[in-house]
Amino acid sequence: MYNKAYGIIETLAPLHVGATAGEETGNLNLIFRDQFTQTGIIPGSSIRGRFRADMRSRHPGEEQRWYGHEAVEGRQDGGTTEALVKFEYASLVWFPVFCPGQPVVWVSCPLLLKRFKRLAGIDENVPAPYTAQRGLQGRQMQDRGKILFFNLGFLEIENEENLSQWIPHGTDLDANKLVVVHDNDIAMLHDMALYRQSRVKLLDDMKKVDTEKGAFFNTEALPEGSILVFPIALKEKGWKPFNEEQNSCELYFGGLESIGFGRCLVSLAGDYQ
Amino acid sequence: MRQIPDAYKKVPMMFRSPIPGRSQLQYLDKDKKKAREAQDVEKWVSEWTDKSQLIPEENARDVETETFQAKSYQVSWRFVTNGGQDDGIVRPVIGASGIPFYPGSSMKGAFRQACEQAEQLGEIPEGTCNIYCGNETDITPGCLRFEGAYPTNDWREGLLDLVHPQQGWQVITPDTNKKPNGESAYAQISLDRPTLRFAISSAKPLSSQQWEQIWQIWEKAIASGLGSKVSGGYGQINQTSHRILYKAKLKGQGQAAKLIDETGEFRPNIFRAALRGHALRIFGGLTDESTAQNLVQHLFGGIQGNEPTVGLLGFQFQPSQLEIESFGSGQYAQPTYDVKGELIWFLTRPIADPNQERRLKNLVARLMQFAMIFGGFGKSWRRVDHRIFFEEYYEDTYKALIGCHWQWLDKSTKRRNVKVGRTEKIAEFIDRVRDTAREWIQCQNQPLNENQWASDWREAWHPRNVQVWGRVAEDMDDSVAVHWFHKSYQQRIQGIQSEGSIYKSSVTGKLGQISLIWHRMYPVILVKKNPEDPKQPIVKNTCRYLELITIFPDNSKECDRFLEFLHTHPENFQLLWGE
Repeated sequence: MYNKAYGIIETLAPLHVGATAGEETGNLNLIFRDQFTQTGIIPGSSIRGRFRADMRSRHPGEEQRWYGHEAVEGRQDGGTTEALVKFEYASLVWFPVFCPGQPVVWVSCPLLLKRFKRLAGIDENVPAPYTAQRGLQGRQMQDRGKILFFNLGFLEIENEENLSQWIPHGTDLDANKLVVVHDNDIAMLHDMALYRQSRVKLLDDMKKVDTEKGAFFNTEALPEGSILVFPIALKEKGWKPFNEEQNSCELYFGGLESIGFGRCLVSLAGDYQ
Repeated sequence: MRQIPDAYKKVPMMFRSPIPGRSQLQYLDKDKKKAREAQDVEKWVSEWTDKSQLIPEENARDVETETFQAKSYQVSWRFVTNGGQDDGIVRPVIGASGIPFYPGSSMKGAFRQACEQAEQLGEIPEGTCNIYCGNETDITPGCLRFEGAYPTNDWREGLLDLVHPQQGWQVITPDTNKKPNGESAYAQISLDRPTLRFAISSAKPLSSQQWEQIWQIWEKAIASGLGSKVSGGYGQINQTSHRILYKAKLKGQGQAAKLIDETGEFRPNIFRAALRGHALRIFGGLTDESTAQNLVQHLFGGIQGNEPTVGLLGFQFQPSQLEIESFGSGQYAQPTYDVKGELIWFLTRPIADPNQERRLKNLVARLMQFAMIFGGFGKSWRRVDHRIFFEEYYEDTYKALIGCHWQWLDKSTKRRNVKVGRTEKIAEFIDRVRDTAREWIQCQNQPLNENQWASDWREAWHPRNVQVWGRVAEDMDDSVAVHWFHKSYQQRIQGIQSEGSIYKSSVTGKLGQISLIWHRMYPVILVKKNPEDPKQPIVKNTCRYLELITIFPDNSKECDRFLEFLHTHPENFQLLWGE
């Protein structure tokens, strides 16, 4: 009944989709997380909002047809219509983890890859935990596999497998830098991978912390180079969300845009045009 | 998974607990230094940079489009920011692939401030700041996105930066074998002369005029210094938007500071350290201890008392020529600098009262002249450069490098700064320095407690605490006193006089103990009236020097005997100032 498509988001800057107020902890501004894997997600509503706003600025009126008519006062049922394009949340496929002493690796886990497999229609079986390609650089242990260090301790690569099928289209990840870990590990590794910085307001006339007005708080965000996937269902084909014939475009997601967060490259695939 | 042997030793430093034996980053372990082992922070840095990456060339170029622009600027010395992610150490935010990052939030803050100032001065139309940065009252977004900056050159060299506060040790403490509390060296991470590529994008296309304006505002923003410690010379781009109080061209040579890995670095913050120390000495001779310290903190900043203070004075040093070389051999080998450049002292924030600003200008100039007349800057600043004034000392190369030599560089600098050409002028100059300091104390509404001067301090500048002796040396080979530091000043003659020596005594000091004497060969420059143009006096260099000895007597036997000896006016040495 629906035409199926999906989008790949590659973050070109840290991405901060904030958690709701109740989830804040102290002075750390958390990102929104999936409740099972505890990894960052972009809700479908945020994705739709961005696409909608973009189409509205380019072809005003068109957005009402593709993304549903907004409520109009006085009309029956509010005058709303069903959207022709439906989005679901974007989940991580791979995210980069930097650890001193070892090259940056992109990490995922079976749960995340399973969703990607379903959306992208990949035939391969989901790799087992602790799988990497032969070319992965890690500390080679005597008589055993390679070892990588993460915040949860040392991880040994137990399986070698070709992972090139798991590189989402439109990205140029190096298959030799991919590492699949266990579902139970992913939340911790995600924590290690997040971009973090402190923010504070300074006095207007002096380089000194404004202790009256300026609260000191920490911000986290998905790191630059993270890859996410989201499904799209279309009741009708012919959807042209970007400029003519383009299947990829730079879009901004999430908050803190004015301080450089949220720049992403979105590429679409599947049955939508 | 099978066990990994000695796994705890393989854990990266970044993930170790900050306790002795694991990862104490700001702490420098003397035993490790002796054993030539790497310090924890050295391991931390080498692990960080081991497999680290550089920004790929396609992202290192400047870009100009209607919606995105990027520009690169080079920081003239070091650049320090604190990402706030480690308790143990000041280090930058780590961005993509482990590369240090200057966050967009810092960039926007700096831009907004410069933009608001330009609006207030009428340089740009009112409301510009709201368009670019958003309106804080309406809470509407601005059109610009500040994307921060990555270093595009190789950022991995020279990250480790040693900071060594030593005001108390240099000026106050009588027993210099013991370092005052809180004055040990500590490590921080700063980028050495990075080229930073700042990126700004706009939600809607902007005209080239608008982009030009945006970058002009940004250049104003960075001209007030980027990141932290800007008044200590960090984060300076080759221009300043601050009000300049003092400017001089200098050249100098001496012993360079050593980084933890023993490589040499010329650290411009030696100028600040010198002026801060001299200000404390002079105030200490005019008022009570705590007032003197408050005055210095107000001028140079600090963290004493209830609240940290941002000082009034900042500086910038732009080297026009800099060579780092090595002198000596074996364990005596030392890195050296040979530098020429322009030193600027500026106001970090406006002073409302123009009278105060004028007084501060005078004070800074006097302190600079004082520093140049009586000593030097940086390591071994209390001694003359032995390579110039005691060449024979190095006939044996296994000798340590001693001293430094600083000179005024160009004519206009000399015209403004050469206040002393004869020994007779010294007393007048010192009195003038003290008068200028008095005026400053008074205009700050601070008490002038001349009777309660800081008599406990080792180097408070008070006639009862210091004596300045001097003579004219005919040329660079005519330094008399330099020999007294290395052998006896008076030979023993049986039955007539005993041997007199300050060599290896508390008077001359030794490693870890500060000498009571400063020794300086100050080049004699004549500034004469120009009958043709009274505004442009004639500057004439000579080969003569004022050989000056500044001594802070400690009542020790050696010191008393040495003063007695000086009172015999050896080689025409005269007491120029002090009781």
